[in-house]
Amino acid sequence: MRELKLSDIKARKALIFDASSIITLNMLGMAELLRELKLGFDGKFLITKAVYDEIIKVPYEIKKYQLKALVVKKIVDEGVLDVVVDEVVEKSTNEILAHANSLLSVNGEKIKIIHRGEASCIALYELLGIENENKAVVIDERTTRMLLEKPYNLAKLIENKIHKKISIDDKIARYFSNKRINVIRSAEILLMGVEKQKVKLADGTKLIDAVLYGARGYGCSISDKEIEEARKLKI
Amino acid sequence: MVGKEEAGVEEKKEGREEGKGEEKRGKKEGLEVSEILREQEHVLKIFEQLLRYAEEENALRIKELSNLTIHSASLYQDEDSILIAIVTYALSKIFERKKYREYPDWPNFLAIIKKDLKQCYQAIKEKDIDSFRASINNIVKNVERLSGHLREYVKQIFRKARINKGSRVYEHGISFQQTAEILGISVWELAEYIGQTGIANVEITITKPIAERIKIARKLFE
Repeated sequence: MRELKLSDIKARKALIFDASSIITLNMLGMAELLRELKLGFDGKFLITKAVYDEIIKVPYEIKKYQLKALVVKKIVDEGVLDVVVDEVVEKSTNEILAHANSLLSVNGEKIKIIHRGEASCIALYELLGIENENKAVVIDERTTRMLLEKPYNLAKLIENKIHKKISIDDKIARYFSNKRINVIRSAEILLMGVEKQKVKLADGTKLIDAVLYGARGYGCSISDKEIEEARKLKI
Repeated sequence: MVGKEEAGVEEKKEGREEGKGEEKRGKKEGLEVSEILREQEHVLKIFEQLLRYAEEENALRIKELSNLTIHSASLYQDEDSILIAIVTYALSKIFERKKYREYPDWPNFLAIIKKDLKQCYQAIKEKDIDSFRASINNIVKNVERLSGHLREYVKQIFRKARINKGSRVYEHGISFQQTAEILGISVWELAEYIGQTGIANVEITITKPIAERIKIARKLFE
């Protein structure tokens, strides 16, 4: 495992992968696509230590997922994914976690919406000395994405589910939406693979459907409506 | 008497197939106030009905009850509300499978479940948290006393109940990893399960057009 400190990262571009996106790609048997895409990428593919634990350490203890863990370990060991281990990231993760888990409350009690692994991706994104347009977090699960892009929708989603009034801290909502963090998913990574002809299993919309429905089948939060839209795009 | 932490860890081990060494997930930061104290009336009502439907062996009604438990589990994420959600769902599944009644262990198993449910009810009534936790954990522990296939089937049901409830907690707006943490499951199991549900098709969760995300990706890979 190649561990990097923040100061070691001299890159023009970066993609920060959350556990959920790596899991989707791996479950689809598309982990190797990361290697192919990395070849033409002018930057780094990064994961945090918390994400490393989730995608390698934890599944390695579960027989059913051991092989999957080994596949990810291989691409980490070969430097396709670099692991960032840095005190500064840890400290910033604590701050982000505290903010995120104070955003929403019900009857005066705060709701813990995200976990350390997810918060660490936001922390790393912010700490990288890379222009905003040249970096993105790759995250398949929807809560963190909603927190970053539409925190009020997240409050509404929960409210609709529990039929109780959810209070949202406007200041914290702005704290996250003002970060303007670029979020993509394994779905868009797979579409880049299709567009760059790294995935050549079929033609046209058939392949787009195959990769997007496939990604959704392993937890990527992408709707039918989005898949429909993707079909119309020139990929 | 089983203490909270001890009981919680024990139960989490139960829920795992191979999860040796993963019980650390069960140790949560700053355990919250028990749902029993927070919503005593609501929980009491659930157990009152649970007892009745367990007597009737009414799987459908118990399943409906299990849906009522998930709101608290998602919001408060305390050990008790999580266990109530898991046990209720698992019981609905156990009662659903009629062939289990043919196993010699079944009558005794059923009697113990009913006894533990009664004790849970009484403990909630008296706001006796320790006694409640001991009784609800007993329901899970009793599975170990079963023999042969029935033990394996029921163990599997409890394990699947964790994953099923995980998907419901995620559906309620809690992130992947946070959900995995509170349910004591791995995000891998959760991802596989969630992929088979319709959770992704909720309009309000679409936060940006896919064309914009592709634009971001293209810019990065150009």
